[in-house]
Amino acid sequence: METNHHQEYGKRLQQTRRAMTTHEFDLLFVYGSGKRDMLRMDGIRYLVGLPMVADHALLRLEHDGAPTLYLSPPSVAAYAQAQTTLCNVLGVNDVVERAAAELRERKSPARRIGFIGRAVMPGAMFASLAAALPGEVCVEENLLQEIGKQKSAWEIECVKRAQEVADHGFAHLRNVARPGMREFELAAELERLLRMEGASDNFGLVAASPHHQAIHPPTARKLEAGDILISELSPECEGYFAQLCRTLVLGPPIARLRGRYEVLKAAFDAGLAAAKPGAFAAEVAESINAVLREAGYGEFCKPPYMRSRGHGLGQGSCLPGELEVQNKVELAEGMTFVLHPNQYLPETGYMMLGETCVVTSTGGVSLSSVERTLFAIDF
Amino acid sequence: MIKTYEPVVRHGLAGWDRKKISPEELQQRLSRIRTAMRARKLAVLIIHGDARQYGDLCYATHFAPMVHEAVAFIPREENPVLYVGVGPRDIPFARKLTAVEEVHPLARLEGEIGLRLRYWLPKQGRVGLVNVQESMRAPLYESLLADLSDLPLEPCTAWYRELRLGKTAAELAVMREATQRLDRCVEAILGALRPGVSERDLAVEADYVARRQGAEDCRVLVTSGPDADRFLRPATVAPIAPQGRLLVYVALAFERYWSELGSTIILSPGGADLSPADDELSRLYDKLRQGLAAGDAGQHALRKAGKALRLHLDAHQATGEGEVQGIGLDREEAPLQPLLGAAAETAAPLRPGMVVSPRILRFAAGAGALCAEPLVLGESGCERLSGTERVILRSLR
Repeated sequence: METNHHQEYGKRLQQTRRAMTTHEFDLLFVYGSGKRDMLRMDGIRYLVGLPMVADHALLRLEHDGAPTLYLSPPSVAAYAQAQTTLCNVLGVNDVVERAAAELRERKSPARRIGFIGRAVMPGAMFASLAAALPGEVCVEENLLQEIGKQKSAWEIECVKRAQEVADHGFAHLRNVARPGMREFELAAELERLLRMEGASDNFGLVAASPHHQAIHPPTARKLEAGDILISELSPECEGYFAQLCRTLVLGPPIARLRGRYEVLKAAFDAGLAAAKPGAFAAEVAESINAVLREAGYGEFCKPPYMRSRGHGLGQGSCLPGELEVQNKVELAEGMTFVLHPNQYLPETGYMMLGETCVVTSTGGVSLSSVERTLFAIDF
Repeated sequence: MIKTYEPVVRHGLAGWDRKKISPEELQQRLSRIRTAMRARKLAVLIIHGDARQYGDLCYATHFAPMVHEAVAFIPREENPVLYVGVGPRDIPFARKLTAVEEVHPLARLEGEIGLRLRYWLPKQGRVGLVNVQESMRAPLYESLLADLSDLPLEPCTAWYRELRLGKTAAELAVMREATQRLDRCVEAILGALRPGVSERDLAVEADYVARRQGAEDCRVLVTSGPDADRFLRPATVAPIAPQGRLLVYVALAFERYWSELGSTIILSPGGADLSPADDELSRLYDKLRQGLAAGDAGQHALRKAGKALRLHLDAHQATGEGEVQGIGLDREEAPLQPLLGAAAETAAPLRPGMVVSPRILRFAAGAGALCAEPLVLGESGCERLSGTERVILRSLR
């Protein structure tokens, strides 16, 4: 795994440098803040494997030589350098000022400077960067997304591992959820299990109600017999997220719920069947919506009754992006994404069903081993 | 500065206990903000916050984003409006977490945030910006500037933050509760500590105890073994060695307010006493606590502590860090007063009601140490928020 890991990062740097040549960039800056987002690619982690602990990070990549990573505040540099041999780390008070000053001192200044990370950089900081750099700043937010969109075997193994942890988390949820427990106490139990299984982070939501409008973060509400419990577990392993969405009933599920959950299952199957190389992300979303329309729920295939039919997950490329009917991104072999026809239905409230999938040469394949059914918890 | 690995979502309790920070308390804050706005002839304030740094936003709204960001719009006379970085589906839940009645989704508004805000703007008057230039992402920021380009915009972060430096009785009560929860986290680590247990096991236990007590968020950093002479970091699966020591930093947010504790835990099954260096550092920290107060007396205590820390580190051939860091709605907020180096000569204002955490770190091979705990500054001394009579350096017997 370790050898693969180094080969992996070497290949990423090579591909990025080729893209820099194509774009005629003399050098490339990638910005990252400590603000993390499961639905965004973390460019710095993708290139040099470093989890972000700094307030501001600016990676300078040139056509040859080791990249330089400027980090602020300076106190985090020692830890960062201990985590990676893929770049030289410099702790500085102001990443923009230092990076720009070093470029200005060069005898032959850069003419075209590629930039990734404007979407997460504070506005005033980006304005200072654009003014301070000696060349033309060319924002190319999708450059790394495109390079990373077809995940390598190593990346898919990381996503599979994260999905396995999510699956174990769900098994734990079925074991521990009981009436009388508060939502946040249940969330704490799940978090502990995921962390002990090796997750470094988790986008976790769990909620109980007889009739949900949507999923939300855990509250102090006590679970009650007859509640519908919806959960979204998204552990991160080696920097890669996977997700599992499921619905449970505290007590025996009533027939009405089972019948409606079958609609979600059919929608999931239709979405997965549509996830073939060459298909548009929109076609996956449309396949799901078609099943719901046929079942009489066409008017509910829009917010606030649902969010999207799935999405890519970070920290690598988040392509294909949101699975929505407007999304014209073409699916390609090796793309991973969450497929979730989570849906509000008037008779049942919001129910959840979803998991991480990968696009293979023959079509979409689920990475989860958890049965796609409405679960019931006996107590 | 102690930087932690940020989670992608604050996955602890999401709620608002109105008995702790009441709507009346929040109304009083709004009145203070508006008085300051009138003095500066501002028609509105635009306040930005996100899941990582929400203090400014939360002070006016009690809203702390679980993910992404939010923008509050505070007119001088009319009711406030809050735009939250989620879709319409999540707005009903967001409304339960804030005193603001008018809540709208911000998601996908990057191209029109300014236009939306313009709807609420008066025809004339200046617009104040709080934590906007510092924190708002470039696409949103540029869109806002473009849409409001004909209005006079004024940076207001500095004076706005002054308003929230001194904590009220209600805020201190919440921070006291947060600190009591932290005491239990450290007790849980002590209970689980034995040779062979991993750093990760201990960090997970602390996080679990925090969340079971209703923490909204929790951060744990540690160092042990060879790293104890270098930096605090996220826990690894490295086991704690017999006779080893663990430096552990735990911070948690409770009802929006952060508190933190830094402890040095020495695993000493044979019952060995603390080393002379540990005794000395413990006394140094006690002296700093005893001398810390608002005003000049506090500054004097800081200067003395800085000098003593320098001598201590030199005498034990160690490196280290020392600072007094404000804490509250943000895990790190004003004031920040370094104890070592040239920056120690500058004097951050220390005022009554501020909550500060003196943080001292000593890095030395096999003999690292960490001390940190929140203190409320008074006119003639300070009050510990922790309810237990803990010693900072521990020896397990």
